[in-house]
Amino acid sequence: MPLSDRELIESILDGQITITPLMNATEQIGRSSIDVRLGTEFKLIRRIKQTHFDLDLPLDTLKEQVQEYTEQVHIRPLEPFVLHPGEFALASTLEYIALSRSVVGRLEGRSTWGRAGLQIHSTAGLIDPGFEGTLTFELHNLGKLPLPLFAGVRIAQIIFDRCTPAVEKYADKPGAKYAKSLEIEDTRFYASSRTSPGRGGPPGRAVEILNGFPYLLAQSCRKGEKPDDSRGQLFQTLRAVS
Amino acid sequence: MRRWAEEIYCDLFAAEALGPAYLASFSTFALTQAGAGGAEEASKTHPADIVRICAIHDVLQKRGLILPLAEPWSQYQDVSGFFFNMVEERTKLDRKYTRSGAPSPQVHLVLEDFVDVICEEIDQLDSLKRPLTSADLSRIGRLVDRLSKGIPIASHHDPGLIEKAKLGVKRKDLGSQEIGDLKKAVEEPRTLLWEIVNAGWVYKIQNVYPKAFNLFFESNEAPLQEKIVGWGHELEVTDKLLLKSIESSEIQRLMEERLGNAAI
Repeated sequence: MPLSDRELIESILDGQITITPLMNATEQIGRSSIDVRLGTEFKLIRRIKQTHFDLDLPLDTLKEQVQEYTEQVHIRPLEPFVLHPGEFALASTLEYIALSRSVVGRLEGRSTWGRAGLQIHSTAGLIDPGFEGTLTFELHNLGKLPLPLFAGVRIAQIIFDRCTPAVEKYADKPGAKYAKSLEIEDTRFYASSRTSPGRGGPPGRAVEILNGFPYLLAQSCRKGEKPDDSRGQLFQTLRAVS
Repeated sequence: MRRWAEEIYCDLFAAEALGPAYLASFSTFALTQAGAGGAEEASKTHPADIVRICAIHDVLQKRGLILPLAEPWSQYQDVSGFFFNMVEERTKLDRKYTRSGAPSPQVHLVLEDFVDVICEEIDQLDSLKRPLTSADLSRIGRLVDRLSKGIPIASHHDPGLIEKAKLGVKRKDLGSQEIGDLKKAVEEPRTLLWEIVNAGWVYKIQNVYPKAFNLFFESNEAPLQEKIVGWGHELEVTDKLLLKSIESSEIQRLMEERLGNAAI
């Protein structure tokens, strides 16, 4: 159940939720959500000649290719960033957000901007328990008019829920890709979607491990054993490739 | 001479605006950048570092910003001790020039006339014009705590209001007036630039710089170059945190100025 205004204030006082700077709490804390503001960094998708990303390339090369694909824009205070119709850009919150392990958040748009055709996120609205950092918006102008966006504008809201404390904090999770970030991170889809370690590694090894994993996991669970060293290594390998 | 005057003016302006943090910052810079002639070497464009440090020291003293050197600022001395010692040596330097009969334009420029003139001019500026109080020190301490958790310090809670609100939020009969008051209590006024910069220096001196000394003595077999890169990364992370804080604080200031606090 979403936290109400009173519970939100209580959570801020207890340090369960940190949102800073909280410039105008009277306006920002709603009945069951907290408004967040737009930051100064944007990343635009560039048109490039490349037809696709070859996931078999080494990770560093892929990372460089993704960086070429995006253009970073920094706006000054009181200077607009204009998002044209149909354009997509990554942006970040002005606020730094930290959640305890027993609070989960969900990013949502605000009605005012929704009516103007601005989509705040396409798919990634969940904020994990224990998350720390600035949030990334996936801005998309679905309307017919260019939208001037200023840093500091209240552009989105977060709805919070309680959960039983997560064992692992988001930042402590191996492979947590966007933890403790103060900047907009480029997509690291290649780190999630690779099914082989890339050229230079044993071909097909990761696929082999992935295929064998459900069987090994089921076997461990049936026996009720702690994973031995080799299985521990397997876990690590899996985390590295998936 | 005109160029030197510009440099000194900038130094004093920064000292006025940023307080002891500027002395620590400049001393560290001078320590790492000192040319072959050391801190006493001047160029056509820049007076010698020692002269600049003396000038900064003087303006801070005039403002009561470093006398007495209260915690946590006393720790600047550990970092910039070398230059602080040189400040002590200043009178000897003066004497040296007087004995030799050689003109001492730098020392004369800074110590006799220039500081006073510039201070009067800077007095017109709307910046830190009062000695640091214990409230300033405890606020800086809280900001340093926040930095150590990796949280930007563009704004800060008022601890008195927070304690009061913790009691208030437990009440069962909360109406809209009480909720409004509680919201006000968790609101964060912006942190001023000089507070951010000073908290940043205190944090670096307490937490980041000591690790630099360990690079040379720890038993870890990693190549020194690699260890320095790792340490540099930590310094960079701190600087990013401070820059983010300064930027957010500035946005808050501009929005409050333009729209008023109620509308932002």
